[in-house]
Order: sequence, then structure tokens, then C-alpha cells
Amino acid sequence: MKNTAFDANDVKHCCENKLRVPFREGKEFNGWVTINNKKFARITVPKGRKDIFQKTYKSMANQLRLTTEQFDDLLGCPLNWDQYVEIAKKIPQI
Amino acid sequence: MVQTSPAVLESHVGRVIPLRRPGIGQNMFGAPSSSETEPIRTNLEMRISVLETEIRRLKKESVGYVRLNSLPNKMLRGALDVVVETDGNGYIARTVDVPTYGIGDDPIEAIGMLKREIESLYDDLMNGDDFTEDWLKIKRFLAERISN
Repeated sequence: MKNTAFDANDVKHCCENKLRVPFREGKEFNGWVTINNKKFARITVPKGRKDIFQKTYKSMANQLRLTTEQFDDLLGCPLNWDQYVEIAKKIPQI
Repeated sequence: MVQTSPAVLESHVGRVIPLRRPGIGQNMFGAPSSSETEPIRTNLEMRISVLETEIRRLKKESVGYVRLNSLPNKMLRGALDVVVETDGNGYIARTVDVPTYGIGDDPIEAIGMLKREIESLYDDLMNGDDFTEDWLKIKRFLAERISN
């Protein structure tokens, strides 16, 4: 788990750029990942916090339906949008 | 050398308390000697150290279960189960049935954020039906429990 390598802004920017998540700004940032015109995953990124602790990191990964290792790859670059969709397609409902 | 009787000595220096002859395993004050107390002390120190480690572990891994009975702006018809745990030097609150979380410097703050998250998710889900089947199930679940 590489939670210490990334902060909340990294997560937000990565979701915006790689997963095309439009965030809604409130007390926290909330956004949906949409695949095939269906809302597939909803992520919450806390505002005003830099460090992401382990359980928060894992919760964000779970929200995106990823393992922490896949989430590491998403934030660390190797995992792109097409690969994300491939992972999502393995979940029966897509 | 002048011999002084005990009576004279007492008149000069007060009552003379004779030194007690130590018993076996006692010092001159009747307390157990250090050779006797040392193993007990070492044992107590070890036990305290084990307890301190255990308390630190429990604090770190402590998990609390809470039933959420209210929301700030909506009516909650049925309670939602929430798990509150430490996370780094803060706290995280997570619902058991819905993929939402709240974080904070203390459990109350974490639960406060979680409540806002639940309301925000409810609003999102009530706005349209373009969700995957999992989310539609969550939508039905929340629709049964929350009302405006």
C-alpha cells in the first residue's frame, strides 16, 4: 500500500484525468466514474487534508472497486482508463 | 572514656530507639531486603510493560460499533450500522451497508462527515436511474430508510 506516496490532491487529479471523474465541490469532493453511460463507482476525496491514512486509502480504493494494489497502480501511473474499464468489466454488472 | 548511663543520654538527645536486629530477608526497618524485593520489582516492571504494550495496541486497533439514528437534514427511518476505527492519528467511520466513509480528528467529527456523505449519496441516487445494479440496490436500501 503506497498511501504515504500520495495525498488527497493526487487522488483527485488522478480521478479527474484518468477516470474522467467530474467532481462536485461541497464539504468534500464527490464524483462518479461512468462506464457505458452508467454510474459505476462513486469516490469521496476529503478536502483540506494532505496525508491519506491506510484505512482511508483502502476505502477510496474500495469505492473505485479496486484493490489497494490496483489503486497504487492507478495513482502511480501504470493503470490507465482502458485498463480500469477492463477491471470493471470483470465485475458482472457491466 | 566516660561511660554515660542511658538515662543521662536520654536527657541530652531524647529517647534512644534501639536499632532493630534485622530478621531473615528484612532490612533494619523490618521491610523486605532489596535482594528479596528485586525479583518482585522486576516481575512487576515486566507486567507493567506488557500492559502498556497491550493498551497501545488496543488504542491503535480499537474498533467501535455505532448505530446511526439521525442525519443533519433528512429523516432516518431505520438505524444504520457504522464502524468507527482509528486511522493514523485520526478516525474513520464507515457504514456497513453503503460504500461511504467519513474521517476526522475524533470519532464525532468522523461520524459527522459520514452523515453528510450519506445524505449526499442519497441525493445523488435519487437523481436519475443511470446506475449499475449494485447502486440501484443501494438506492432502494436508502430509499427505505431515509426521507426528506
